[in-house]
Formats: sequence, structure tokens, C-alpha cells
Amino acid sequence: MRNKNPMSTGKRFPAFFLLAIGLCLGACSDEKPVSDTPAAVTSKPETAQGTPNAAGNTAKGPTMTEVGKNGLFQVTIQSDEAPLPLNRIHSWTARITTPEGRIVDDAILMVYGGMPEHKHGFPSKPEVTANLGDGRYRIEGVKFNMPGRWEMWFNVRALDQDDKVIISFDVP
Amino acid sequence: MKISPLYHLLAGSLALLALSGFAIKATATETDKRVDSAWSDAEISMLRSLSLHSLTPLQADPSNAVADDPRAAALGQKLFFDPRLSANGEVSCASCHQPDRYFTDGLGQAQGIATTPRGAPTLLGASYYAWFFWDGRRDSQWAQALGPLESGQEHGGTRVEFARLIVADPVYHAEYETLFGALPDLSDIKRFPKQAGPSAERNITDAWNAMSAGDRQLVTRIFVNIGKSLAAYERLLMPGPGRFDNYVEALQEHNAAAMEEAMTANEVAGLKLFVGKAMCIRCHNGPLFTDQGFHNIGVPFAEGLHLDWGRYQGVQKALKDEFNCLSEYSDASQEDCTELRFAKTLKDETIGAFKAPTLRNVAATAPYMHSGQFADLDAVLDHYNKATTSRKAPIGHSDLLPINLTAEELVQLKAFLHTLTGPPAVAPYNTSGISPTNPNRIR
Repeated sequence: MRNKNPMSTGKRFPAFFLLAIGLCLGACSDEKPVSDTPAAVTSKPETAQGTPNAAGNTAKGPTMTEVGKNGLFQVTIQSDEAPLPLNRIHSWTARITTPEGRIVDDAILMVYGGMPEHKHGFPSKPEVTANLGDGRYRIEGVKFNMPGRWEMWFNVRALDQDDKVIISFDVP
Repeated sequence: MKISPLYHLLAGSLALLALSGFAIKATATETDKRVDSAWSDAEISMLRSLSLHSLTPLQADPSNAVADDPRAAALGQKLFFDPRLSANGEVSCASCHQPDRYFTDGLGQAQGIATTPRGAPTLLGASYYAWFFWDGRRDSQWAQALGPLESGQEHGGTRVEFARLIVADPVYHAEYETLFGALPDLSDIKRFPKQAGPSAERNITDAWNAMSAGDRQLVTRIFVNIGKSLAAYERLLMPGPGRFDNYVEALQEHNAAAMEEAMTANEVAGLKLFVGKAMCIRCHNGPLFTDQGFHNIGVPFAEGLHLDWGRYQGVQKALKDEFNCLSEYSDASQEDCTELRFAKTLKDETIGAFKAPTLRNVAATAPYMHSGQFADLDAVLDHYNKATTSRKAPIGHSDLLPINLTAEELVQLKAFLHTLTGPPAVAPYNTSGISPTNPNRIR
């Protein structure tokens, strides 16, 4: 796995990594992102927009990390709020690296999610709204409408390679 | 030294007292155990999350600058009960949202000027929602309030008529100006026709379109402020605790007697089903017993009504709505409009879906579903109990899973639903300054 990893050759990723974002559950396939906007393609990772949060003002959620099924990318997510709010839209930050920790700062990323046990998706449509630089991406529009086990799925495409990262967590 | 018999007696009594005291305490602990053991820790936490005592304070509505202004609520209350806000002078908001019926009307399809396709849901606790109407076609309570006013089937009035009533009525005029500033002069009938506004009637729409953009905006601004005042009043309408809430409170205090007083064994069994086997909790959760989401549960179309796309159409309407959170009439900034900006539009997950209603006072607010398809709770539970793995629905796919309740369990579940009825916590009536028989009708 690791030998096949294109990131192991060093340096930061070139700017033509693509990151697309969308949302759906189950029925959506990796190859057919729901995201309809070519604007999701970012070619200038340097144009990081602002900071997602004023640090220290509110408690953030714990960080959660998983490596993708293909072992290519690792996604670390953190909610802007703790505890995770019910029935209220809020934002998260995702950080994408290789499993070795190299920053992936330009890609197409799709975010899906929902409650697999209940066979439903998010009640909203989360989107990646900004590339914050340093492999960090802003996710807005996340909403949970019941306590229990939720999942966020990330389809990451970079250098024509795809990986799928699933992160599970409990909403209290 | 000889110990006196009196001392023995005293010591013995003390020992007995201590023992009996201990015994009483032991008994109480065992009772606590027995009472609490009916519920797991996870279930107790779930029950607490359903209690009205867990309802967090209502958040500000950034789209409505007067949402929490008591003066706006006072004006809104008068407007709410005023039948002059209708084409025939007989329909007020309270016609369908009747205070003594938990702000519903007991009908499957609301009756205004004519019969509407859908039922009037309760207003108790509605200010907590992000989306309004069964299909969520409006994204604020003030924008919702404007819909029925202009609907030909409900109040049947027009924008210019409502604005003119505010200008003409001395009480409304004064209260409005205190809140929103000077009212314009609408007396020029050429500039402001008697009846004009967006309407299903061609001549009324034509009259509206013939007005200058500036005049239309003047009128619409007053119309919007009527909605914002109505919403300020509606934000005060909250459900009150029922026996279920007393039960949860008693459970937390390990008070077996109070628990038994609050709910019967049958009702408790129904509650167990509600949070367990029957899976009601999937959508009817939180202190208002709703996840506020949109779900397709395969409800048949009401008699005489056809294809209803539900949320699939509702969300498209909201995105294009002239009064939505991002509109010029909203007081919110773009950052406040996250519900609208990140609204789910996916056809597969929205078609045939309707808003999960609150179950607060559900036993007292028949009939049920968005067009009153089910006359009573038995019919509702029967519908859920008939769900199969096929997920068949009149349109789209049903979200329901088979629950296979027995006849006895259906009785228990229904019994539980009766414990959610409680006296509404509403603002006191104050309709001074208006009279239902006031002859100054808009038409």
C-alpha cells in the first residue's frame, strides 16, 4: 500500500490536486460527485481565505482522524462546537494529509454523511466552502437531527487518485 | 456499677430506632432500584432529552429585528385575532390556529375563504423550527405568516389592502409607527389600487405589476412588518408540560410514587415502545418530539387531492422565495442564513417528504398527516405498523421500516401519546383596540 502512495515521493502536492465536495448517502458513487460546480476546483492553494474560527472563543470538538480505504489520504476533522449541537447548522474543519503527514492542499473533495443504521443522510447539505491552506478545508452546513451514530464520508481526489475516508462518531 | 433498667430501656429504644431508621432507608433504596431498573442509563438520558424541561431557550431570529420586541408581539397579537385581515372579514389567523384547540382547527384541510389542500399545524413551539409549512417552503416564521394572508383559499386579501388597514386603523397606525417608523400615505388610488398584489387572480396581479417598483416596495415593506409582528406574537406560544414530563422529573428524583401518579403501567410500556421497538424516536425526538426534518412516510394522498411532491418542491420555492433569509426584506446577514444556503435539495431524499410534526398535544389535535389523511391515532399507528421492507410510497420511497407491533403494543403506544397533552403556555389575550365586528373591513 504505502509503496503505491504517490505522496511518498516527497514535497508538498502540486497545485493541480482537485478537491470536490458534495453530499449524499448510499446511492451516490465515488465517480459521480453530486457537486455541480466546477468552481469547486481550486488551483491556487495559496489563496487561503481567512481563519475559520477566532481561536479560543468557543470550545471545539475533539479531533478525529481516519486513513482512507486505499491508504492514500488521511482526513482529520474537528467540529467548531462542543458538544455537537442538535438541530442547528454548524461548521467543521477538515485537514487532509498523507498517512505520513504530508499536507494535501489542493484536491477535489466530496463530503457525504448520515446515519447508516437509519438509512438516512444529513438533514442539510454540507459543503466545503473554503480552502484554508495547509491542507485545511472549511466544511459548512453540517446538521444533526437526532442523537446516535453518525458518519462523515470524504471522497478525496488528488493526482488522479481517489480515496474514501469514513469517520464515525456519536452525537450525544 | 449497676446499670439501671431505665438505661437498658433507653439504649434498647435507641437501637430499635436506629434499626428501624436503617430499615426504612434500605426499603427506600430498594424501591429506587426497582423503579430505576425499568430504564437503562441510556434510556434515562433519552427520556431526559425528550422532557420539556430540556427545551433550550428560544434563539434569536436574525431575520426579524422585532422578533423579541414585546411591542411587536402586542401588535402581532391583535393582528392574529383580527378577521378584518381577510377578503370576507371573517377569517383571522385564529380561525385555523384556535387557542382552545392547541392552535389547530380540528380539520384535515384548513378552511379559510375556501378549503386548502393541507392541514393547519399547531403553533405551539413552532418558533423553534427552521422551516415552515408542511413542505418547508418558507424559512422564517414571519415569512410563513404572510403566505395565508395572500392565499385565495385562506385570508384572500391583497398586499395593498393589508397595508391600507395598518394605515387606516388608528391603533395599528400608532403601534406600527412606534416600531417601524412613519407610514406612507396610500390614499392615492391611482398609485395604490384598492386590490393589488401577487395573486392567483389575474386582474389583481396586473394591478400590482402596473404600480411603480418604489410603490410596490413601500407596500411590501408594510406587509412584511405585519408578518414580523405576527411572528413576534407567535414566538410566545409554547407547549406546556404533560404527564410525561412529570414522569421524567419524578424518575430523575427517584420518586416512585410521583412516577406512578404521572403515568400508568400501560403508558410506561407505550413509552418503552416509543423509544425502542417502534422506532418513533428516529424522527420524533427532542423536547418538541420532532427532528424538524422532512420525511417520506408513504402517506396516501387525501381524497380528491393528487400528486404532492412535498419537500422536493418546498425547498425549491424557499430558495426562490421573495421573503427568504437572503432577501432584501430579511434583517439577517448572509452568514445567518445557513439553513437556506445548505438546504438539502436532492430529489431522492426530498420527494414526497413532509415535515415531522411535533407530538406535543398530539392526542388532542386530530386529524393527522399533512392533509388529515388519518382521522385518529389508531389509523396513524396502523399506517406505521403496516410498513414493509418494500418501502413503497405513493411518490418516492417511504422511510418507514417494519415495526411489527402486537395489538396490545398498539394500545400501549397510543396510551403513551396521551401523556404528551398539557396546557399551552401562551401569551395572555389582549385584543383591546380591535373588535371582531369592526366594520372597517379591508373590502
